[in-house]
Parts: sequence; C-alpha cells; structure tokens
Amino acid sequence: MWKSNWTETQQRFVNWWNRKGLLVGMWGAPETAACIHENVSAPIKPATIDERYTNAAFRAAENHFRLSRSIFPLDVLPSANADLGPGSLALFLGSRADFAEDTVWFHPCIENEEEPERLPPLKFDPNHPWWKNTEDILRRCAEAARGKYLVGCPDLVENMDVLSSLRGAQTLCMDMLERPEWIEQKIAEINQVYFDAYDRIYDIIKLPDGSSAFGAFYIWGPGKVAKVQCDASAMFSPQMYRRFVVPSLTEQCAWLDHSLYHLDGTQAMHHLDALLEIQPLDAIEWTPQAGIETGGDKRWFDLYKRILAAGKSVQVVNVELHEIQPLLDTIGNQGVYMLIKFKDEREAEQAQKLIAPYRK
Amino acid sequence: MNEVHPLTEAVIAGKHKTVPELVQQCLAAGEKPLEIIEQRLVPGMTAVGEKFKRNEIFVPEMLIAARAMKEALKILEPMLTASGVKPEFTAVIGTVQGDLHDIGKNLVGMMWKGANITVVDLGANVPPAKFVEAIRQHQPQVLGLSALLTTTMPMMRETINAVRAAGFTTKIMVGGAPVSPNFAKEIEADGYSPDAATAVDTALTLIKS
Repeated sequence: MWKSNWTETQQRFVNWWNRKGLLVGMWGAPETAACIHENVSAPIKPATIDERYTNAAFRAAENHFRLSRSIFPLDVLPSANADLGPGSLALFLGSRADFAEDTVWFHPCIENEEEPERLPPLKFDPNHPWWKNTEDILRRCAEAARGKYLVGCPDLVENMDVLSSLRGAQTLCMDMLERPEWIEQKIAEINQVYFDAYDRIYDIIKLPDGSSAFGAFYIWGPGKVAKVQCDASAMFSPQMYRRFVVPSLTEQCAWLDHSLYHLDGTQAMHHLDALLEIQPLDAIEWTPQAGIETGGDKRWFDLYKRILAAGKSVQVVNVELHEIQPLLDTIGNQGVYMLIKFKDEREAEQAQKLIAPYRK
Repeated sequence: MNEVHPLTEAVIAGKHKTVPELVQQCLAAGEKPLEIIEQRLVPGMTAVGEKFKRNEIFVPEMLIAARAMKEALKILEPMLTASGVKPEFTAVIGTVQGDLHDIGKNLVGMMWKGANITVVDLGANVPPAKFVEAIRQHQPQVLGLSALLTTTMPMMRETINAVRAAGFTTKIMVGGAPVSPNFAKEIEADGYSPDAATAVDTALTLIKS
C-alpha cells in the first residue's frame, strides 16, 4: 500500500466505527510535484468533459498519476475516485447526465408521467450502458490499484434523492401528498437496485480481507461500507421523513456493515431525532451550508455532542488547524473523525502535533 | 375570529381541482376578478407563507397551495387583461447561469404571484445578458436571482454588474441555500431573502423603499 501507516489507520477506522478513538483525514490527499511512489506519466486529457468522466482508461490513469504523487499522512486515505457524480444510481434507472466541470446534473426521466403507477417497477439492469460504464471504470481502477491504493465505491446515493433525480424535485414533492403509496413502493425498489449495484461494485473493489472504501467522505471499513443521505429531506417535514426515508434507510444501514449519514444543511437538521433512532446507523457527518460557520466552528459543538451521546460516531468536516483543540476539548476524542484540508506535509505535521495529546 | 372564505381555504389546502368551481361561484356572486385575487387568493398565499415560516408546513404543502392558486389565476388573469387591469408591480426572476436548480426560484415566483405581482420567470441557467434583456423589455421593479451552488454564486455578482453596467437601477434581491446576508451585501444586492415566504415581504419593502 502506498500508505506507510496503513495498518494503524485501519485499526483507527475499526475503532471509530465502534465509537472509539480519533481519526484525522482529508478530502483527497496532499499532492506533490514529483512521483513519490511510482514513476507515472500524466495521462492525456480527453477533449470533452463527458469523456473526462466516462473514459475508463483515462479515469484509471488519472487516479494512478495523482495518487503516485500524493502523500497520505495521519489517516488520509489513498483512494481512487470512480464517481460519475453524486447520485449515479439514477443513471442506471433512466436519468440523463449532463457533465459540467465541477458538478454533474441528473435530468428527470419520468417527470411528466401523469400516472406513474402504470410504469414498470424499477429494476437493476446489468446491461444498462451507464452500469457498464461504471463497471468498466471500477475494473480499470481496481486493476491499477492492486496492493497500492483503494478504489472508493462511487457515490450512488439512495432513496428520495434518487427518486427526485428521476421524477424531478418539484413533482416529487407534490407526489408526497398525492401518491404516498407509490413513493413508498419506488423507494423500496430503489433500495433493491442499490443492493444489486453495490454487491457488484463490492466484488470489484474489495480488498483481499473483504474490507472496502467509499469514495465520498473518505471512509474505509471491514465489509461493505457506505455514506448514505437524503438531501431532499431539507424540503419536507419530520413526519414525512419518518414515513418515506427512515424505513429504507434503516434497511440499508442494516444491510451495510458500516454506514455514515451525510446530514446536509440546517434545513435538514430537524430530522436529527429520527436519524439518531436508526439503530444500525453507525456515524453522522454534518455539512453546514455555504455562507455560515464551517464544520469545526463552536456553533456545532452541541450537535456533535448530541450525536456522540446517542451512541453514534461523528465526522467533522473542513476543520481548520486552530479549531482542533477547542473542538476536541469540548466534544472529546472518542468516535471523532476530522477531515482537515492539508496543503502540504508541513501542515499535516502541525496537525499531528496538535492531536498527539488526544491520542494518548 | 373571521371565517375563512372557502376559496381561501381551498388555496391553503392546495385543492386545485375545487378551486376553479369556487372562483366561478365568486364571479357568479358578483365579485370582480381583482377583488377575488386581493381578498381571496392573496390572503390564502399569505397564510401559507406564515405557516411555512412557523415550520407548520414545508415545501410540498407550499407547492400544492401555489398550484391551486395558479388554477384560479388561469381564470382570472385573462379577465383582468381584457379589462385593462394590470398588477401594480412586476418582477423578473431566474436562476443564474451554470445552475439548473429551480425549485426555490419557482417557490419565490409563486409566492410573488400570490401577492399579486406580475412575475416573468426566465427559468434556470440564465446568462446575465438575458436578465438585462428581460429588464429592458418588462421594466420590473424587482429582479430576483437564485443560486443553489457555491460555484454559481459568483455568477450573481456578474449578473448584478451586468444589470448596473446597462444602466438599470432595478432593485435586485438574491436567495438560495448557500447565499447569506453578508454575501448579498458583498455583491451589492439590494436585498436578501432566506426563503420563499420572506421573499414577498422583502420584495415589497424594496419596491416601496
């Protein structure tokens, strides 16, 4: 593995999933100017944005080149990114992708169906072109990665967020009041599609010991691991969340070996009570929306304490170096995973010194 | 306590199928189209906005109320046009270039319509030049800009710059999940609204200022 302290990091992840210890990682990894782990030439960038996302050979070569020049201090994961955008499960079900430089748009495909009840059930199709593309990217990345780095499971996304990509957010909101049984049925079908897709992905990316990584939010663990979410929940009531999201989320978390929920924005915060009641959910990550205090700010300390007190681990994102001490002094050092943006090795060393007293 | 008119009640409850019949009943009873809008629909959407602010209802309930109101306007607007009556104020709204999110923008547009403001909705992914052209054409009192991505927020600044460079002094308000009052100030927007319910008060305050 291109990470010298991989054994220690693995143990710290195992502890973290068990609500113990402290993890310090980052979104990505600090890149250097030279090839550190292997001499790799820079791949030729395809001419179009679409190809930059979908060309499997390029995706594998790009990851290999980037990781060969990156350092992985503390618990920074060496992880190849095989994403086709957050929510790519919707592509396997008919949504159309529009690739942009820094995001992917998923266009609805059943938005104008007046009687969606008449549509056939949503099913995973192993011959679907988007699945084939995903599989190709993953296989090539896994082939290049073998023994050197991890390949993160793509950010498939689930439940209402996927249905929203298929139906359109506005139409789906009205469906919640007008055809709730149809939504429940579709969410159950989406869960099954997720399981079918994930099983195939897991077979490609798992390490020899059966452990695996999830690309978004940089998590690794024994068995099947994933970040789960429902960003659409910012729009609806806690009652609706309990009806439409909690059952499928509970099933999903129970099916996975380890799960982290991505709680996005203050408008989604009113679902926290319901989330904390989901017994098989292991951990919660909090993303404050842009324009307000970032993850390491004291404004969120009580939130983190609440999550920890409910017996779940917590992931704190975008922590600044000066926030480490007040954060850990307040919320403690057990079951905490901080994502810090290190510019270089020197900053990672600084963080190392700051967290040392909390790892004793 | 005043009794709520059945049409107002139907709008609040989002009963879009019963609204046309209730509008016809009001007309048959001799109410003028503008009176129906001002005394039956506007109070309905105002009540919806208030409930939303108090977290008693959420986006789905707001959307169905707006759809019910739209059914009423489908009948009433042609009548107003035929009789030469125009809403007092006009607003142009759109999601800035590079951003395809539209639900927040749609809700603001619906709430403005519910406050009897003529709304010109340019849709999503709107380039600055298109906003400028719409201002030239419709002469609105307010321009509403929406963005839901941190990456598209800078396009709000560019749009405001383009509008000002074209010589228009139209009041500009901004909103969207990542947008903050500080950011609005920084890009020299005239107003900021945290949600669709508040957007009505903000727009009317800006217009009257």
